[in-house]
Amino acid sequence: MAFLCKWCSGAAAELAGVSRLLYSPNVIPIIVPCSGRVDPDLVVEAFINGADGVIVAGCHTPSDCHYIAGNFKAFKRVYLLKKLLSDFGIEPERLRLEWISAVESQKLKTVFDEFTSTIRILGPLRAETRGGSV
Amino acid sequence: MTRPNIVIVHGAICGGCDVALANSVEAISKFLENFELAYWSVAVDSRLSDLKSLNRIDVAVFMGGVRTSEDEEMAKWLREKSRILVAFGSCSAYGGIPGLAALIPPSELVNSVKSTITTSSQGEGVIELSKLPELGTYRALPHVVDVNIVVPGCPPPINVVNEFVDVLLKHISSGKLEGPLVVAGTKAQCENCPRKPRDLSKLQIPDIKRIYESRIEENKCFLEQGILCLGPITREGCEHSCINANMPCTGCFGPLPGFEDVGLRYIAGILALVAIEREKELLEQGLAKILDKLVDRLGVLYRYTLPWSRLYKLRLSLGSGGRAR
Repeated sequence: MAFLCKWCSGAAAELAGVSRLLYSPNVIPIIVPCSGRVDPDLVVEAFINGADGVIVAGCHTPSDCHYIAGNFKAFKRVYLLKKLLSDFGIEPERLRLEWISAVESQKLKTVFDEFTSTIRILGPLRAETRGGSV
Repeated sequence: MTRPNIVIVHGAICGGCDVALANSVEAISKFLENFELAYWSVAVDSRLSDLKSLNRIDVAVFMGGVRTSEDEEMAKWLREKSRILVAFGSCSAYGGIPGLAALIPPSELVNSVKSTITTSSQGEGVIELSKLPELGTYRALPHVVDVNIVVPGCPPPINVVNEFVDVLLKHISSGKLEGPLVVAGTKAQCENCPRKPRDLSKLQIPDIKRIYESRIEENKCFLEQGILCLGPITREGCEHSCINANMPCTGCFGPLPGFEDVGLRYIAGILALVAIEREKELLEQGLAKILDKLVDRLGVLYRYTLPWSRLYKLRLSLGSGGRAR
């Protein structure tokens, strides 16, 4: 699951499409107005509904954000949420924050491919083999 | 006409809720006047067999969380027999302090109790816990059975206890209550906080500090001093007893309606504001350094509500009981 901001990362995804770049088909992109709009609740919701990994991508810091500083809000939320995930015993690597500008479609492709392989190594969040009971 | 009967039963509890209830002369006298006190193991001479022999219970007050298999059985039995079931105190309502141990596997908890040397174990180091009932997944009462009235607070303060008795008397005649009725305000602590900043929209959180790290100024908003206060997302009704004692709110009154996952809401709303005026100067590294000062994340964000957190539920659904890494 990838939350992409409308102005930079989302545009990069559009460009990747127009440029016929191939990236992992496992990624479901969702365009949001700003990475600062991605509530931690949305990320957790994605995990609860079966996502194995979540990417949040926005404009480069410090000054690219269309809304001045939404990307810093995204940074703080994702940073703390990653810590919280590990507190709850869920691998923090399942959540990733990236800054991708509108022209960096190549970077978008690399990030998506890299992330997919990371998640593949971690395995599904709901593996039967985890076993045991609380 | 016989008076309606009331039973007061314990789950995982420290005993503070009993004291809170007994502390209110008004509540106790109204109780004795209007109810038949059928079971309250700490206050009247009654045994579990007396409780079990009751065919019908009008009001059951459950104090403490659901920790053991016995607690769970009792909660289900009470639900079956009683017209009004009350979750009394934060443990029962939201999980409370013992809820913080919910992420640690029960076997580890038992082992650490057994191996902790105390004055009463006389240095032998191993305590026999043969009669310990089986520890299960820690849950708040509403996660086990439906409750009718929720009385929050750790412990519930006198004004809330009195209000609870009034609510109870009002509803006892009308029969069964639908849905949980929370005996607390529906507005945030901040709404009537004596330290409310003049302009909430310009609230700035310059830093994150722990309580011992600074001299807390009285009459100034805790957040503006970098002390994390859960007031913005906690129900009012406690008359700001902690805040008036120069300590930040830790959220014992539970989340506002619609804010059930306290930690996620707090991260989204309040912690995203940290150092808001210096973001472009600090950049990610600087901000990360400030956010790292929030060391005990679960203890601050979920002090009373860990079993309510969505991540805890996700963790349970994964079916593995490992300790948080």
